Parts: sequence; structure tokens; C-alpha cells
Amino acid sequence: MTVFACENSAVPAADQAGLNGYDYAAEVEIVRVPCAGRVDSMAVLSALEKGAEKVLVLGCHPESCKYLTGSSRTAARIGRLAAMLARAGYDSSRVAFGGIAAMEPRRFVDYVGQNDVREHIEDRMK
Amino acid sequence: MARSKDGDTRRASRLTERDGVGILLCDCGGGLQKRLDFKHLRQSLGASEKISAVVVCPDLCDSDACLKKLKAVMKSGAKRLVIGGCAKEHYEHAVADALEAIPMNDGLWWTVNIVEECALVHGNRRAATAKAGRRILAAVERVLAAGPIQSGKKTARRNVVVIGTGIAGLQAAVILDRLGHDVSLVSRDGAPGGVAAAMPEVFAYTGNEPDDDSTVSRFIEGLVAKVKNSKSIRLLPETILTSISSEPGDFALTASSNGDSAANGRESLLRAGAVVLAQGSNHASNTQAAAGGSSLNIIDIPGLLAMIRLGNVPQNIAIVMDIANEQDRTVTAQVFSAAELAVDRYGARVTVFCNNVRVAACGLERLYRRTRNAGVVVIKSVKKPAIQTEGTGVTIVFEDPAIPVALSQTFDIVVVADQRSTGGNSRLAQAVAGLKQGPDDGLQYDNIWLSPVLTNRPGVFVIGGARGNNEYREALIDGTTVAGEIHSLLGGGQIEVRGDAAQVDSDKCVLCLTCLRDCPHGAIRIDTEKGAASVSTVSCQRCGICAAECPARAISLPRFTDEQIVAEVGWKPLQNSKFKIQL
Repeated sequence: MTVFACENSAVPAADQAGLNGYDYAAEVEIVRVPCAGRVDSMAVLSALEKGAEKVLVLGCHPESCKYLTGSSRTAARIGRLAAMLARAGYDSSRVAFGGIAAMEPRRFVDYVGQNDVREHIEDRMK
Repeated sequence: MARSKDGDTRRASRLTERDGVGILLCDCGGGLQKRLDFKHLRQSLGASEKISAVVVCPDLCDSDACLKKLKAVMKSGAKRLVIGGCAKEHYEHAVADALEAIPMNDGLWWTVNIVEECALVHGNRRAATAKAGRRILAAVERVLAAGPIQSGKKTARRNVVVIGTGIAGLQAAVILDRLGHDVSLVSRDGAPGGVAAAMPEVFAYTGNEPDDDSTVSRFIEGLVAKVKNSKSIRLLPETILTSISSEPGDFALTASSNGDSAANGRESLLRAGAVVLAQGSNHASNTQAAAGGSSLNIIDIPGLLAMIRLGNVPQNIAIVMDIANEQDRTVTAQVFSAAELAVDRYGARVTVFCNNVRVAACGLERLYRRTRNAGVVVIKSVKKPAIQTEGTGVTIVFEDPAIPVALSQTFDIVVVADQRSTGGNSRLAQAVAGLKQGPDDGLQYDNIWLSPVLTNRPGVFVIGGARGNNEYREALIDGTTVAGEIHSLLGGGQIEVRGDAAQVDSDKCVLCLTCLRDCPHGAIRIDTEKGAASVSTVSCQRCGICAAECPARAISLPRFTDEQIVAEVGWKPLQNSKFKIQL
């Protein structure tokens, strides 16, 4: 699983998860980005192309994105991408966006630990 | 023999061609050896021909020791660097010093977290080591795809334009003056001082002496005197700002005079390094919110204060707040300050009807308790109190939570304390291109990262009433804070130019304006000479939203270019792949 992680929220959350000794799969590989807003469809698709089972984009909660609109734009972008994948005949749950704050290591482990990430995230965002 | 020599030259030539990557790993004083197999990492990584050296160092967070080990890495001919350690915040400062001494370009190194993301989460030493190795190899690919970054500084104007001459604006001007910045104080009003000068009584709670508004008046007079006496503060009264453009360090502003003088309507041009918006929204009393319409017996807080100043105070007063909607703490302060004055000076009987008493400011709780002790009755009505005028008095019908029937009481006058914003700031907001407004006519977008005094436009700051903070002490604190922020931005007369700001390829740009609309910081403008978008290296905050949104893929963000991201996610051999896309 490839996780695009925002420097301001998801990366510190992952660090906290490590410090707390929360266990998650060794296949989870974290790619640091300055803002979830930087992650475009091409980055996500190339991760899939290179063999990632799932691609997760984790950024700040949209209402508290450090760069104001980055998270919300990417959430919408990933939604469109998932719909496109579904139309092309792929499993759309392989890509998902999740909001997280720097002090939510549990949430990070929850996100990366689920089989059906997208459904799980939709549940959590309710 | 000859073959191996050939191999050696080939390897050496590849190294120079690709600028071999050096790797510096931290084993945290040996503590990580239990969790990560550094010997294995050194051997397996060292076998890769892209990697020129792997050095393990015990303490990355000590800049001297770090520099020593870094020199050892660079000796191997490495031109690029991957650093493996814990979360980079812990050692960044030390490594930055060492890298400057080498010197190593800012764009050609990258960090990998082998502690929190590898050693600590995967209890199994072998799995953790394998993951660390994979992450380091991915980072090697990434730095090989990177290019150098040149940052620098450029001359910036040190002078500041402050809009609004309430206490926040005055305080900012005085502190900025003290820090050596020239200030132009632009005000829509004729005389400086704002709300606090007009109604010092309602801010008396901030002083130590109860019921003493002279402290507040004296303080404001002192501020105004400092502003008027200073040679480096210029007052521009009765002037309205019409536009702000360009970037921090060199803003261009236009202002037009709105006074009665001959100068009316004349436009003037100002240049400044930073802009402070300190002008509160216009607030009008919302007496219409009271049912029964206008009546001579229904007045607002300034009306009650005028009565108190004239000494003509009725004996039985009701003050109503939160009728239309919940008001803020400044309304609470006004209500209880006025009530206290009416009781203390004229022995009036005051009843306050409210939904909530908001005391979240220094001195407000004390004011509330003092007023209660002086005999003011506070009623939290279950339903909205209804105001009926009849004859000489006004009757309020309300429902007390303890008594489940409607009660009514007649007063000489009813004071409606509710305020509503009349949108005085929308014109100012339009003047600042790309400014995102916040709730309730505020000029600060509602996002925690902007707190306390930032706006979404770098170099444009917002304080006091402009960000909905009408509380006396906190407005003063805002003024001081913003002076510090501006001094750290422009203090040396120079502003930082970041080499890793987003870059536009003018050949690819088709001027679709997507980036212009998407940039949350207003950092992008159209360069008419090049016929392409152009990013301000000073305003850009390096979020990469424009790079991701650009449909022509004309924008790239150094450090996070498409090539670097693809190199990092795709370092592993193509396998099990069902996707193929053209880059």
C-alpha cells in the first residue's frame, strides 16, 4: 500500500503511531508530500501502475488544511478518480482520501489497517 | 584482470554521470542496533552501483559529529545524499548546519524515517530492516531525479501600511515605529481612536479600578499622542483603500480620499513591504430586532451611555440582548458596563434579559459578578422576551426557567444591545485581490493555521476588529503580535526568496487561469510579456496545489516534481501491475 502523507498532519500522525508502537503492515510505504493538494491523479495512478495494492492519500481534515483548500480539492479529485477507475472496470476502493490530524495516530493505523479502505473512511467521515 | 578493470571504469563513469548518492544512517547511539540490522543494510545498500557510500553515525542531532560523518560520506565522491534517521524535526537543525559547511545543495538531499516508520512499528527486526532498505532505495531514486535549488534574499521595503486607527491599529503603528519601520496609518474616520475612544466606559472593566474609564481614555490619548508626535508615522485620515496588488516586500496600494475637503476623490499611490488590516466591520444597533418596532422608549447602548453622561437616567431600565441571534462578548461587556454605571451613579434598577452571559475575556467575569452584587437582575428567558410598548412604559413578557408561566414587567426604557454587521469590510476585502473572507464580515479566513494574525495572502495581516476580535486587551495584543510578525518578515530590509517555489514552464502554459483561481495564497499572476502564468517566489507557500491542478502540467514544484514522486513510488521492479499509463 502506498500512502501519500501530508507533512503537516499525516506524517506526524504516522510518527506518533511509531512512537506509540502501534503495529501496521510492513507493506505500508509513506510518501511525504507538502500538502495533500500536491497529489494529483497521475501520482496515484503511477503508484497503482508500479504495483501498489492500494493508494491512500492522507491530508489534514479539509476544514483545517494548512494550505486552506488543498485537502478538499484532493478529496474531490480522488473521488473523481475512483469513479473513473470503476468505469474502466477496476476496483474503485483501491484509491481513497482520508482526513487526519497530527495528533491522531490511532486514526492513521485505522486507515492503513483496513481492507476496504474507502468504505471504512466514508464511515469515519460521517 | 582486464575485464575487472573495464568494470571498474564503467562503474566510475556511471558514478560521475549520475552523481553517486551517499547514505548517512543514524543508529541513535547504538540503541537502534537491536531493531535494525545496520550491518546488513550497509552491505546490501553498498552493493548498489548508484550508491557511493553508506556510513552509520551514532548521533545525527549533534552537528559536529554529523559533519564529521558527512565528510566521510562525501569523500566517496557522493554528490547527492540520503539521510536515514528518526522524524526529521528532531535533527533538522544540526544537519542543516553540517550541510551548509560541506556545502550540499538544498535540493539534492532527502530524508527517510527509518525509526518511527520502520524500526518502531515492525517488531520483527528482519521485516523492519527490509522496509528501511526499501525506503532508502526509493529515496535514492528520488534524489537522483532531483535538481538543485537556489534560494536567496532580495531587498524589501521596510515600511508598512496600517488600515484602521482603532486601538489595534494604533498599537501596531506604535510598536512598528519602535522597531524602526515607517508606518502610514490609513483611516476611513477623521479622528483616530475607534470604538474605544468613542465609548471608553464600556472598556473600563479592563482596568484595575472598577468604574473608572479614565484609565482607558488616558491610554488611548497616549497612543494617539505617540502616533502624532512620531516622525515616521504618517496619518491619512478620511481615506479609503481601493486596491492592493503585488507581493510581500513590495506591495502597491491605491487609496482615495473620502473626506469633505478639496482632496475628495483623489487617488494616491502607496508602496509598502507589508499591509495590516485593522479596520473593524461597521456595527449598527439592531433595535429593529425588538418586536413592537421603534419607540422613544426603546434605545440602544450608545443612547443609554449618552443618557448616563448627561445625568438623565430613568429609574427602571431593562437591557435586552441576544434577541435576533447570540451576540459576542463585547456586547456582554457593553451591557454590564452600562448597567454598572446606571446603578452606581444614579441608583437605577436594571434588569438584564439575555440568552447567555459571555465572559471569556480578562476582567469580564469580575465585572459580571460586581454588577450582580450591586443589584442588577439577570434573567435568562426560556423564550425570546417580547417587548410591548404601551403608554409611557415598555412591558417585557418573558418566561423564567424556574417558573413555567409567562411573566411580564414594565420598565421606563428598554435598551436593545444587539448589534448587526452592516458589511463595512466587504469593500476592503475586494480591494485585496484574492483575500478569503471569514464568517460575519471578518477579513480572516476561518482556518486554525492562520491564527492569530495571518490572512491567506502572505504579507497582508489582519488584527483586532478586522478579524472579529473586538475585545480591548486582545486587540492590543494583536497589535503587538503583528508588529513582531512584520519585523521578522522585513526586519533586515530583505525578504526571503525561496528557490523551491512553484515554477511555470512558459512554453507549456496555455493561460487557462486554473492556477490563478486555485492558488490559496494569491501568489500567481499573469506575466503578459511571457504570455504565461508566473509564481511569486516570495508569496508562494510551496503547497503544490497549482502543480496538481494544472491541466497542461506546466507547473512543477521543486522537491516534489512529477519525476521525483514517480521515482519514489516506482522504485521497485514492475510486477503484478495491471496499470499502464504514459507519463
